[in-house]
This record gives sequence, structure tokens and C-alpha cells, in this order.
Amino acid sequence: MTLLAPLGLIGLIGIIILIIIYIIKPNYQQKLISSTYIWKLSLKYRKKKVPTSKLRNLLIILCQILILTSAAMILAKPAQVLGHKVERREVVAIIDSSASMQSLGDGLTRFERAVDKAQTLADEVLAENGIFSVILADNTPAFLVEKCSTENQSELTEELDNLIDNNVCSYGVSNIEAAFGLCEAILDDNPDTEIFLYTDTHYSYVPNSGKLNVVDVTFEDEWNVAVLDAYTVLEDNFYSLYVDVACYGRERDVTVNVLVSGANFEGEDSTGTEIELSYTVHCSRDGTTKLIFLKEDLYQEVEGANQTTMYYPLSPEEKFFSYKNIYVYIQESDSFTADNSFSIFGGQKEIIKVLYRSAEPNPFFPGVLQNLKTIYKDKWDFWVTEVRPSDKVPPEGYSGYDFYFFEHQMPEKLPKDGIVFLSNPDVAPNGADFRVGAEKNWGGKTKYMTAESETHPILNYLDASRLGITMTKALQFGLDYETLLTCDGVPTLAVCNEDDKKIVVTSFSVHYSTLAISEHISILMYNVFEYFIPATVSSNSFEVQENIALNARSDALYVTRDGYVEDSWEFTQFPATLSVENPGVYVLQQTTFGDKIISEKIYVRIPKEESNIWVTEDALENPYKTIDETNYYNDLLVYLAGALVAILFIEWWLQSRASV
Amino acid sequence: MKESYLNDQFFSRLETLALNLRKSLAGYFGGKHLVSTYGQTVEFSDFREYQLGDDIRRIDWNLYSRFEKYFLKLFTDERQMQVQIFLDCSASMGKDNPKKSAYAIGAAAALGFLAVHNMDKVSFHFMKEEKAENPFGTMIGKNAFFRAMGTFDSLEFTDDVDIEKCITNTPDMSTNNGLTVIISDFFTESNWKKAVDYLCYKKRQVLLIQVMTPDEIDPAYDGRVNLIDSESVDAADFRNLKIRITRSMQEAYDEALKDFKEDMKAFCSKRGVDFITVSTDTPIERVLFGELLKVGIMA
Repeated sequence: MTLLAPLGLIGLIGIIILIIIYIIKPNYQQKLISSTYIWKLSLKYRKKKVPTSKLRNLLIILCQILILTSAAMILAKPAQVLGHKVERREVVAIIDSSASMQSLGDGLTRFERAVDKAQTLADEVLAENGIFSVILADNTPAFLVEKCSTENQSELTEELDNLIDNNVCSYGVSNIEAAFGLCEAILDDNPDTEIFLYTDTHYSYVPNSGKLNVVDVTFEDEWNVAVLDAYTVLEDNFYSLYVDVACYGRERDVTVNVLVSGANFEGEDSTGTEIELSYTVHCSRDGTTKLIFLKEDLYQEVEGANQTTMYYPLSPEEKFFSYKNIYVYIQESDSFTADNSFSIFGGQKEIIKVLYRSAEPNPFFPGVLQNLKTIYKDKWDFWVTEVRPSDKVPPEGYSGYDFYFFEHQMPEKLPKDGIVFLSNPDVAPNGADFRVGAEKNWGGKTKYMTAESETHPILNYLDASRLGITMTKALQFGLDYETLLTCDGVPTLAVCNEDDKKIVVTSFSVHYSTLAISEHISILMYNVFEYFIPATVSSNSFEVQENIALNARSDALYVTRDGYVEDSWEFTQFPATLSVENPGVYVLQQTTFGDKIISEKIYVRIPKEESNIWVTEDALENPYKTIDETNYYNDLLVYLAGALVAILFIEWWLQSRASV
Repeated sequence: MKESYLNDQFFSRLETLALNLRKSLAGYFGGKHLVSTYGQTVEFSDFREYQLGDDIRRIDWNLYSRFEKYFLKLFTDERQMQVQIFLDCSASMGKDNPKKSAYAIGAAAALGFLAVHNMDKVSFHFMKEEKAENPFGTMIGKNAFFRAMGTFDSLEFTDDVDIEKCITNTPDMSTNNGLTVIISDFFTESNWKKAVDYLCYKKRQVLLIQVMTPDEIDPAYDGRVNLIDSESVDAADFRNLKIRITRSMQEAYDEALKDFKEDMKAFCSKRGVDFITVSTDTPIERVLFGELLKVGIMA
């Protein structure tokens, strides 16, 4: 048994106090009475019952001493040691593998310095016949070497050398708490295990357990200038560029360079121009400076408490309404270079060509297409082509569009290179895999629809019970179709999403439905575009180790790190998730079923907080705390508390007997 | 505040009572107590035959005419008794308990009043240490009695009392002429029984009144107690007692007190001595009209 809080034994002083109380306490209270004559007589009657009283008194004081002892022991937190005592010294080295550990100073990175120190400590511990373990603490910490002894010292040395040789230090954040969690198993076996944390993070409070050591691996002259973030905003038809710059460890002027590639390109054949911008900003020691490149000839500087906002007026030659890539960089010889540049993509909008052909042109669907053009203005350029019934159909059929919309009069051949929306078909085009049957007429009475699927994305936010029609065509769909809406048992909306054909069919005319006069027509068309032409990524900028949600409008999506062919991934199931370990530009490429190649780029940066190489955190968790209380010791408090209650009961019983 | 029962209202209620003494007592002439002997009163009692030496003036000639024998007409006799009241003036009777002393004084005064009210002689003997003081002498009549009553409230209860010596050393202890009342708690080491035997030897009618407080009948204190006897001289006095009073101790006390009273009662019963125990929380009128009537000392 051991005592987790030996100071609790101070409570034993209570026993001395108890004895003193027994000594000095007034044993007898004075009582003046007329005569003690009868009392003296009564003693004769009492004498035969006396012998046990002394023993009882002794037991009472004994119980009281035991009560005080139990209380003191409870304060001292007694516990039974479950783990076996390990005589050998045991050490766990946790090496911080966050991006900031790549900061270079005095010829060595912090990470290299940490590994060197860990190696030195390992040699020292193993020389004492100790046990040494190493945890590499990145986003998901893991043991590099677990419980290494002199027998496998070479393996340890090899692993530590590999860390430096292969520069294993991550570009993400480190999870020290998870690393401490890994230590639990070792601390279960040996709570005397020492933990050495090699890190560049400074902690305001480190638990003083005597066994946790935080080793600082920073070098005092290290500094870092960083492009923390950069993005564009379309303002008044031209882009404004926002750049967040910071300098940690020093206060100095920093020149921010911007190279806009493919600026102001127009049309698919245009390459645009290159614009170079440069501006020097003053960075305070730990503040962030926001630099804004505006098209207006307005220069304004506003200083905040810890942040400076500076404006750069773009001249007419420097303004740009489109771009392929913006490269922001700072040319400084700082300690950490991974965050000295930043790339922005997304300034090049994809052109979506839409064909609209109707035998009875109406304002409904063209109006919806205009709405979509507005909705997707930051993402796509909508080129809508309206074809009149009188226009001649090309002999090889329509082609070259991303989206075809046929109403009433169907094409003879179904286009193969885009999504096809067929509304109120008079006949079934070749290859459409459905048949047009008789007209279903409810005699002017409105019938409302029923949704056949609760989860299909095309039905998102659609209230089928509010969609009414008075007549429709009875269509018989092939097996490739999924019926989404029906009316009185007659299919009214069906979708086909096969590798070689993507078709949406509505069996009714908008003239005989409530669809056109409600918001559902816009919702339906928006859902169709989101379903068949989903955005590949939600943004063009991500962080290392961030989960990037991927989608595709084709069967496969290929992701490649720009300039690193070996870093590539292929995705065939969507939605998919990608998490990358290195910062840089990644290319996302896919080929639609119409053989259209779509290539997009995203930029993955290191986490913003890792740019601050002199960060200070509040408190470091105590890795010994939970182990002590739950795993290593069998808490004896319950037993002592039970004993205390029992003794209290006995003492009460004896006291009550004493007064009988 | 000193308590006292001695007031006009108290005495006026006693006027309806009288002491009832044994008829065999001798007594003095002039009293109102009927005795078994024949006297010179006007109340007829009996006849008897004439004997030589009898006063011929008392021969009933009417009977002689009928029976031709001489018969004397006998009349009842009334005597005056001497009532001696011995009051225990030890500290246990009221040093720290005024109610107990007032109660004892009240009882003594009541009996004294009844005596003078019935034309008896009364004397108060205040027992202190080994002698009984009789500051007022033998009183006859209410005037003398009430003069004496005026000093009763200043009576002091101190020291201890040897009842035996106090009574046996009383000089004017006549024989067979009245009632002796001893008022005490009898919580004493002295041999009061010898005093009673002495009174019986003197053929006096004896009444013992034991006065106790409720605390003495049923002690309400417990725990570790140093009982200081009111008669003790100092803390080291042998009368003082250190004791832990528990429930069983209280039971032992009750038993001891009960046995003590039973012993007194048996002793008195054997000698034809009247004995009553009164508690100070019992109204004194109830004692006079109840307990004393019950034992026959009051009529």
C-alpha cells in the first residue's frame, strides 16, 4: 500500500489532541445538592454492574483513535499498487513533429536538434541498462520504438537516424495529448517512467510531477516571415487580392511579391497576360498585416491594435477580371521557408454550354437558366443557346454542349456528350430507353404528385405534394431509369445516370402543371445541375492534414501533387476524402463521359498556427494524472470509508451503552 | 426570593382542623383533648359502682331508687397536650433550596397553629448541630404563637445536625403528655432511630415528616458529576461524591431511596410512630388535609 497524499497523515495530530482533550477536559461537572446520602446508598446497588465500564471506556477511546486514524488515512489517499515495481530506469521521448519543428537555426532544424537530444538521452538511459521508447508526435502520434533496451539499441539508433535522413518531420500540427495517451500503457506498467517532450512550443504552465520534462529545442535567432493566407474577391467585375502576412521573431519590412498568371484571359483560346505586383509592408513582431490590392486608385492605411491593413491601388494595367493562378511569395532567408509562398486558383471559370430547344418556346425554362447563370457566376460561365423549331438540325445531331434541354419536340438522336433534359417528349429519341404512351387526362382536375424516393438529391427541397398537373403522357421507362415522381400512379419524373447517358425526363408540359408558377422549377433545375455537375472541391485552398471532400462528374478523379508524380491518388467512389501531408499545388483531373477533360488546381498550405514558430500555449496536460487515479492504483478509500463508518457505529453504540 | 407559606390565608384555612392525639396521653388540665380517663366536665360518660373513698356528691340517686345500689355518674375528661416540634435546621434542609426550608417551616407552623388553636401547648425546637434550640419556650395561645412566627422567616439552615443528640438532650421532655413532631429529610448519618426510640420510651406520640424536593425524588442530572453536599465543609469533604450518573445509576438511586423509605416506614410501623413523606412540589394544604388525615394525626 502507498499513500498518494502523505501530507494527509498530518491529521494524525488529531490523536494527540484527543488525548490532550481527555487529559485536560473537566471530567466532572459540579452539582450542588442537599445531600449525597442517598447517592452513597445507591452505590451499593450499582457496584455489581461496574466491572465492564472501564473496558467500555477503553474501547470508546480506542474507537475514537481509530476514527481519527481512518480520517487521516483517507486524507492521505491510500492506494494499493497494482503494477509491479520496475527497478530499471524507463524513459519515453516524445518528439514534436509539427511543421514549426522544421525551422532552421544554427545549421540544424528544431526537429534534428530534438532527435539529437533524444539520441543522447537514449544512449545515457541504455548505458544504465534502462528502457527507452520514442513517440513521434505528429497529427496521429505513434511509437517509433517501444521499450527499447540494450539488446536492440541498434534498432533505436537506426530509427532515429532515419528520422533525420528522410526528414520525417510533418508539415501539419502535432497532437501532444494523443502522444501522452500512448504513454498510458507504459505508465500502467511503470508509473515511475520519465517523459521527455522535445518541442518548440513554450508552455506557461508545466505540471510539476517531477517526471515530466519539457525540452526546448528552439534557437534564439530563429525568425519566420509567412504568407498566412491569400484569397481573391470579385468586386465590381474585377478581383481584389487579400494577403495576410506575418513575421514572427523579428520586426521588419517585408516585400510581398505577386505574380498573376493568365490575367484577363477571354475565351478558350486566350492565354491572358502576366501581371507582377510588389509591395513592402511593415510587420510587427507578432502581429498580422493584411495587404489588399484594389482596383480603385485609393490608398488607405488603417492600423489596428495588433493588425495593420494596407491598401495597394491597382492601376488600369494591373487590374484583372480573370486569372489562372496567382502566386504570392516573399523572398526572405528566414528560418522556415515552407510558408513563404501561397498560390490562389479559381480565377478561371469553366464554360458550361447549354442548348435549349422547344417546339413551344416559353419564358419558364430560359428564365430558370438565367437564374442558374447568376447562381453559378463565380464558378461557371453559362453560355445558353436557344434553338428554334424552324432551325435546321445538324445531320449528325446536336453535340458540343454540356447540357441539352429539349421541350415538346424531341431530337431524333440523343446527344452523347452532355446531360439531357427532356420535357414533355412527343416521341422517345433513339437510345433514350423509354416509350411514350397514351395521354393521361384528368379532365381539368389537378392531380398532385408523390415522391418515390426520399433521399434522391434531385428531389432535395422539392415538395411533391405541391406539384400538380392536369394531364401528362404515360411514359414507360427502361431499367436504367429511376422514377422519382409519380402522379396517380403515372411516372412524371425519371432520371437515368449511367456511364454513357445522363438523362432527366419529365412527362408533362409545364403549361398543364403548377411547376412553372412555383419556386420548384428553379429548385428542380438547380438539383439537376448539382447532381450531374457537382463541384469537385468546396474551395481552392486547404491545409495540410485537412480532410478534403472530393466529388466528381465522372467515374474517376486523379489527384497529383504538382511536380511530384509519386504523390498521386485515384478516386472512383464519391464523395471521397483526401488528406495530404505536404504543402503545395495539387492537380485534380477528370474526364467527363463526353470526353471533356477537366483539370482543377488547389493549394495546400501548412496550418496557419504552425507559422508562428515562437508560439506559447497555456498549459501542458499532466500525463500522470489519469494514470495515477485509474489504472495503476487500486483505490482503498472505499474500504477505509467503510471501516470509518463501522468504527463510528461501534463508538456510538459504546457511548449509548455507557449512558445506560 | 425567600419563599414563605406563613400568611393569614394559610392559617385561616387551618382553623377547621384539629390534632388528633392518642386518648391514653396524660397531659394537663385545661385542654380540649378528650382522654380515656374520667374527669369533671359536664359531658356524661358512664356509670360505675360506688367505692369507698368516692365523693358521695357524685352518687346518682335516681339509679339508687331503681336498683337500691350506689352508682356513680362519670364524666369525660379533657386535657391539654404539649406539642413539641423538632425542625431539622441543617444545610440539607434549605441552604441552597429555599423552597424546601419554607416547606418545612410551613409544616411546622401549621402543626404549631393547630396545637395553639386547640388550646394545647406548643414548643418549637430548632435542631442545630447537636442541640435543639427552643427560642420561644412553651407557647399557649395564638398571640404567643404569632409573635414567634414573625421570626421564623429569618431562620437559618446551616451545618449538619445530629438528630439523636438534639432530641435526647432536650431538657423539658415530659412523659406521656403530647405529640412530638420531627421534620427533616432524614438524610443524615446520625442515628435518628435512637431519638425515636427515646421518644417512644417517653411515651410521646411521634410523627415523622420527611421533606424532600423533586430533585431528590427523581434526580434530573446525568453524566460525570461531582456532587457537592450542602453540608460539606470544603471540596475534599467526605460527603462529596464524584460519580458518573447513568441510567442504571439512576435506577440504583431510585431503588436505594425506595428501600430507605421502606426501612423508615417499617421502623415507624413497629413502634406505632406515624410517618409521612412529602415532596415540596405537593401543595402543603394537600399534605395537611390529605396525608396527615390519612395517618390519623389530624381530625
